[in-house]
Amino acid sequence: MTSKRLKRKKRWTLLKFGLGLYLAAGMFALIGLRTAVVNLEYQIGDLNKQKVALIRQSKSLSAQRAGFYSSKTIEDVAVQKLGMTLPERQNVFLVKREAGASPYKVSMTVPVRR
Amino acid sequence: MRRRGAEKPEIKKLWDEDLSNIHLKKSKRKAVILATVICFGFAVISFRLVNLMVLNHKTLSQKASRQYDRVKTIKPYRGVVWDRNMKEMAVNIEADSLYAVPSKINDSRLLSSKLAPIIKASAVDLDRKILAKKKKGFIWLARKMDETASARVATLKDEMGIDTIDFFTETRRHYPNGETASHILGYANIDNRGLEGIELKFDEYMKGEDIEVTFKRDALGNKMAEGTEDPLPGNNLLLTIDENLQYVVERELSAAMEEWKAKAAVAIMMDPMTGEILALANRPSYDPNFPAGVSGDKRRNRAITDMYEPGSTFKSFLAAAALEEKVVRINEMFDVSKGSIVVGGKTIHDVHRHGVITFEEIIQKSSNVGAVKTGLRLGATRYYDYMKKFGFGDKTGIDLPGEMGGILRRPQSWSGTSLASLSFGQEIGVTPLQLLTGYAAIANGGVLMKPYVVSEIISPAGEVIKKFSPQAVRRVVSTDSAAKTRNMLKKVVEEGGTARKAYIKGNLVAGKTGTAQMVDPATGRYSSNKFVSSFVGFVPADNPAFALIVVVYEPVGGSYGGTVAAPVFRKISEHALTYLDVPMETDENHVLLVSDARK
Repeated sequence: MTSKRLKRKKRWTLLKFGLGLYLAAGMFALIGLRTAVVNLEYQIGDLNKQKVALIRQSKSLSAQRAGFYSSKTIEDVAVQKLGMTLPERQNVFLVKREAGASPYKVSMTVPVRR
Repeated sequence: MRRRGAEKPEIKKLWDEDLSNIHLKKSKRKAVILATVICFGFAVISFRLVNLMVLNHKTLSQKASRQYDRVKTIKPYRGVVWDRNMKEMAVNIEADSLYAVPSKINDSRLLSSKLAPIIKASAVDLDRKILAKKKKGFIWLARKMDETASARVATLKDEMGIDTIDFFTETRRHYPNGETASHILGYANIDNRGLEGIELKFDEYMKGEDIEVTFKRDALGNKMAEGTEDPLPGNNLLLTIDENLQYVVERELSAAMEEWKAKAAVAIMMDPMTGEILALANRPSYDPNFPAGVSGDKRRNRAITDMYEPGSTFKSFLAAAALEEKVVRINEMFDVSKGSIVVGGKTIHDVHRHGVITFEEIIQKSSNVGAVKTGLRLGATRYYDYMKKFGFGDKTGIDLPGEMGGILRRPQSWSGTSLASLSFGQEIGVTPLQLLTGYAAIANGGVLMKPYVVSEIISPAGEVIKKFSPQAVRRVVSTDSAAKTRNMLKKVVEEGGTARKAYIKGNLVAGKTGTAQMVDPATGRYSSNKFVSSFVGFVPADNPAFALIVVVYEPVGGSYGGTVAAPVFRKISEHALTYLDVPMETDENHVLLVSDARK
């Protein structure tokens, strides 16, 4: 066997070993990636659960808020809890809310004279 | 010997060579066998892979899909309903529904006894239900439970380690204002389909569309990533109703029901210029959050379904028609001093004797005799035409289900007394809404407007899909005749009129009382103690902010519209005028034009 042949054989062996190593590493990487994807799917599943729960809470809170804003609730609280009475018509001055102003800002907004 | 000695190494060499050749051959054979086995193995694996992945791909992927993939139908949220100020009138909340897997339940009696008190069911019935479906894989135990019940079941499930029951999240319709506006809103059933009110009328717009979502579950049943879980909501509705006014109307109506121990009551508030319904209330009422078991009597929207004889409130239409046809003048004198008149063999009486009075006073004092005399002058055909023009005998076309058109017979089928009876509001069936719509025409200058409760349909993205604008049906009378009728109706609320209790300090009221006898179903005749008391009018009389009708059915301890219904009109109107910021009518010195002196 000539040295050239030997060298070629050695190189081929190395190449085969490298290829095998590459395939093995690739396989592990693929398995690793697949595991990561599955883990992410679990995380997304959990996050979806949380999202659904938050939507649920948000809907429930919106409904509660709507209930608090109802005229009946406001009058019940004003009359029964705070002891208020309905004023005479002459004693009522309506404060016009500026467009876009939040309710809490209304009392603080100084009307601009034009 | 030397030769022999020399031959030995050669033999040994040959022996060694043979031996190594034999080993080599053996190794090679082993290698070949091993390679063959490996190749065969690979071939088997490859064949199996091809078999699994190519030949049986379809069947196996379907099988795998059945094991891991789950398809869930997501029910959409119904559209939200807002009042005219964007206050929520109907929203959606999420609720847990409880289901069981009967085939896996070992002790159904124990489970039933634990669950029954929480889900408010009978333990025996629950047990029977589970046993009846023993072979089934799924049954509902409770749909759309409230939060407390759901939490209690969850605790019980954890404590007892029950894995044969579980929850399914569904959306539930919620009406944050409870009874308020229940007859307008209606309600949606357990499957979120509209059954009454605008929930029924606009169901196609509001229901949204189901979506199907596929998601994966692992061997332990844990949910993995999935498609979107956001349901596609239905379209939203913007109403013409004002929740604040609606509440005031309902509050006063409830008070009147209590005060007069009445069988029922109705009130409707309308913008006479546009036909927009601002409030519509019925008593008795119900909470649409809990519609199960509510009687039809409470659910009935009397405002649009119940006909009644309007009585004297109908005289305003006679007056408008007579003025339009110029068969009478406002100051023309009528002799009603006899207090009765005979028409077609029937004697018609006034409640009080009035002497000689003007046409204006006929309306102010609500003289039946004067009305009959006016009706006879107008004639059957002309009067019928005006009644039709005012919309009687036809549905108003309001966007609520179940509306009745009322009863108005053609003149050909009238008896000898019909014209006289119709002149003061008998022999005709009207709904409160029809009557109010007619008054709104007088209030706005003579144009009949189509009433409506939904002003806009808005997509989930906030775009206006459909807008409902005010719709004039027809002109009924001229502006002049309408103005003259309005002026006559103002007198009704002043000194000498029948509705002094409808007087409002600061603004002129125009309106008319009505006290109609009800027909006793037992005798088929007018009852002497069952009445429908009503008041219908508008305020401020010359530039109305709203028209309002109050009808009280079978009040006890009072019967006159001026006594029973007019005070309710006043209370509602005072609050509404304040809320709507309608200025009091004053002169240049800020002195009230409508003072107590006019009372």
